[in-house]
Amino acid sequence: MSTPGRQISKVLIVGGGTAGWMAAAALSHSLKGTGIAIELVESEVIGTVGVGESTLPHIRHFNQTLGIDEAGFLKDTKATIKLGIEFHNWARKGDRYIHPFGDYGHPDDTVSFHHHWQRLGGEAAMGPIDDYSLPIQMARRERFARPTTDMGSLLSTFSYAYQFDAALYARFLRGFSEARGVKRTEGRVVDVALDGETGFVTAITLESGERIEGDLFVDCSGFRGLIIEQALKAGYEDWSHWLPCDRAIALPSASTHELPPFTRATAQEAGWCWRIPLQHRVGNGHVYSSAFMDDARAEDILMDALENEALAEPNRLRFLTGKRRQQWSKNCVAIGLASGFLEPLESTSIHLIQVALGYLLDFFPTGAWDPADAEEFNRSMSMEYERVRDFLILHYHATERDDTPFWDYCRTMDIPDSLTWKMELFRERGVPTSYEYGVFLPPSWIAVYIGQRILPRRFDPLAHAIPEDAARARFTRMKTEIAALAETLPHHGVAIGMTRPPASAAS
Amino acid sequence: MSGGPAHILIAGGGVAGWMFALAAARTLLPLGTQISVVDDGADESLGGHTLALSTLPGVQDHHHALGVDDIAALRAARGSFKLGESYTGWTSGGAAILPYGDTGADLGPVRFHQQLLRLGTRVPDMDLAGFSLAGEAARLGRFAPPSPDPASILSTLDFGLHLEAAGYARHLRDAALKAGVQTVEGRVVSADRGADGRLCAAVLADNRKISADLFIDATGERAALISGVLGVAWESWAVPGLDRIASAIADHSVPPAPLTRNEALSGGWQRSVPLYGVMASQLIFASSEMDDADAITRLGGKADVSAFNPGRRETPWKVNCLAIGAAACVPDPSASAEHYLAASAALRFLKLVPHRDGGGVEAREYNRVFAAETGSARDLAALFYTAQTRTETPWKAARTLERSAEFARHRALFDARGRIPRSEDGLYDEAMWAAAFIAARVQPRDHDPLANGLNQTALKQRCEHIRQLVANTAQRLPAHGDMLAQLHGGRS
Repeated sequence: MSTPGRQISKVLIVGGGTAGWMAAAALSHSLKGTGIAIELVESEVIGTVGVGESTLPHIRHFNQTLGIDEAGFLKDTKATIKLGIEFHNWARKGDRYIHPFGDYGHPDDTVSFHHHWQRLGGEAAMGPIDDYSLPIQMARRERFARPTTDMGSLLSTFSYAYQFDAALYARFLRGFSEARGVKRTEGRVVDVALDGETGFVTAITLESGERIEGDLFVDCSGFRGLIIEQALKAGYEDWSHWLPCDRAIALPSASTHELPPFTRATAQEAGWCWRIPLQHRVGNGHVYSSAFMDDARAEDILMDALENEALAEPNRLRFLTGKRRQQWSKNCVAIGLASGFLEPLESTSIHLIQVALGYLLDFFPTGAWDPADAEEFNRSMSMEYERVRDFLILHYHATERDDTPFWDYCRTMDIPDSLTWKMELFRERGVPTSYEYGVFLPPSWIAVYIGQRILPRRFDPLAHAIPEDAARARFTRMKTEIAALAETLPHHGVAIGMTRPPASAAS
Repeated sequence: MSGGPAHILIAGGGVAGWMFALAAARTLLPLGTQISVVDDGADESLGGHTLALSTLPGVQDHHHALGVDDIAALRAARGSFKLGESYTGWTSGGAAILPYGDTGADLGPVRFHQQLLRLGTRVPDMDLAGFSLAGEAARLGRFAPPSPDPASILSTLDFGLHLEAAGYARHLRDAALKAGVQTVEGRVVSADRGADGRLCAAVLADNRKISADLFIDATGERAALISGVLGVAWESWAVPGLDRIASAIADHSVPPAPLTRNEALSGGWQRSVPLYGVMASQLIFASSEMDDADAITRLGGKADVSAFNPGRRETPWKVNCLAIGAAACVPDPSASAEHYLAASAALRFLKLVPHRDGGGVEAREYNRVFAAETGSARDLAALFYTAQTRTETPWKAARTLERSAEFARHRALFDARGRIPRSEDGLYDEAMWAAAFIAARVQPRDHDPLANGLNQTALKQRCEHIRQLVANTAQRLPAHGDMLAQLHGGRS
């Protein structure tokens, strides 16, 4: 199995779905010309989880790299634009804020806007910080225009992502991949064969009896981790003491007259509900902790939250938050849910697939199977997972809610040292930690801190460099400009070329 | 709610002290903060052995942020341009050049050096400089400023600077004084501490005391405050076998090469930083092989010699004292890190200006980034010491230099397939790490398999085309010496 100088000649992707087809698309694009064959095995019987309908702006880079045309993609995946996530009831019942994909104020200021805002009296004197974010004001008005690169313009202060039908995206990428030579095989895997000496995976066997060999196995089989866990016993790091939600119910409903360009996450008694508007329907779901809530109550809450008729039967999911100890073990790399699970609160599932594919291509193995590649992949992915994990925990922990045992637990639980430190730095001095790698830039951290009532005890003394009156006048003007600009932008539906604009645009 | 510090006292001038003063003045004087520098004119801030700075590319950005005028600084510091570094004698074979700026061009995810590996070029024969306009110009002694037009091949140039420390410090001092920084003639030797453990007044050699809210220790390796008063430990990066350093600056009539030279010799290695009209040299050597007198002779008869003790402070910011320059870190000269670390210290501080009575969380964040930055400088130097193949006793010893986990990771990945891991807050980007491994002649066992997708014939033609374009362009650039003569107005 391990032969120096020998190259990988075949990649076998086990499992379709979003992860499997994203892997097939990225690998078929980047391995072009290498002579490496790519085959994907999936079973239509198993179906996909497909709850990852809400994405981060990085997905656009993924599509661009593959040369995917945005207009065709939007149409084929029934996608809408996403400018951020609106959080309801998180720090206190009745609270509402948007975590936008963009900056507050102008990012070229030496002193970050939130320091100025606080210096000038914060929300009481200056109004919500949301008023100083163009993407938030666009989102609230259901409006959208693409960002520009002109740094002087307010239109350069944001980015955007998509909300789409993950099953349609997988189908879209399947077409892309098959056109680039990826072979698709239908079948259910019943056996994984390991080399007696090295423990490397040699082949899988399908229900039909067909045996398929490979050199590199990409496990996209979902939660159960058909190869990475069941065959290779990579182990699992359980993070459920920090993120106790372990169940979800997903349910699509009919579109309403609205087409919000954002995802909504509403905190409930023991978890939260999502609402993701697509072109043709609305995705809904309830993520909850079975230790604090039974399934029947969870379903009642979801039903109550629906804004229109349900279009299907509820889809029930179970999961354990955490990550595979070795996401790359032997000659198997786990991607997607097979590699770990972090709840979709910040829409990171598809992003983590994309990141894993990036690292896999960076450290693509040869037949020498140098352990340095797997180690670097695992180290990098652990860092990515941990950074997302900390950001998610912040949403639960930064709360004043004491109305249910669930929130009491989250508010008082021990959190990772890495997050304790981040929160302390912001609470004391308003400094968000920044890192080069790993998702969520300082503006995201600032949005959630302030949205969840973690206000810095002290702001940057450099904010005093501008006289108070001048600062007040400048930012008040900015607020007016942002609102005025948002008003002039096209309606969301129109901007994405929907043939039938929603009712609100016509009215 | 309290404001920023009312009085910042900088103990020691020099490059680090005055650079900090200038940057702080621009930001903090408008807030009413008083900034004073206690300086006796002895520039020890970067360590007595640093007579010249050889910077990394990006120095222009640092200068812009600090408020330093590049050209004025060059003129004041007998400056010259730096298009890369050369290494001679570290392994068998001729000189290797580590060029700045772009080298070749990536093809999608396939880095340029992987393309050369794919074509079967062995690292000892790999001449990255031939595919880099900066590298080729350096070899020919030519220079031109980069073009902002991305369509022009001149946009692929990037450069650092060679600066004489004394002249540069004077320039920074003049700018800081002009900006409103106060200066106190004297030498800080200690400080008084309050009951809360914070420093409250600096103690001068003549027993004068000056109180302040925040103290910047720019006293160099003396570390009068951070070590002398606060006792913060030093982490040594001593190189086994190489324990002394000699430094000299001497007249030099040959036009300066736009290149810092690193030449390994039997008992140590010599670093040459060519300035306008003078040459700054350092000899890092083994006292077992060479005595101080020999070292001085080698550097032309007049040199300072001291113990070579690279390393860093465990926490450069403690309570209300921040150590900068050599009081915080003495990087190995081969890391070209002195300027970057001094600039980054001042700029990072300005993002974390503490309140009058604060400093705890700011210090922790500052120290976190400091550890990452200095770690990368330590690791780059470790690359050359551990990859050299010399057989003399001190060099054999140098190969046993302790490798950090971070460096071991870099080395293992490059050994395997010439890959560079991602690392945060480091001084060197991925391309520079790759160029450094190649300059150190580290041969990977294999190359990036993604490069196998490239058509060999087309790739070969493409590389040859780049090489010719680079060669033709480099020949037409002005001579570095002429550029400097113009810049310095004939003065030397």
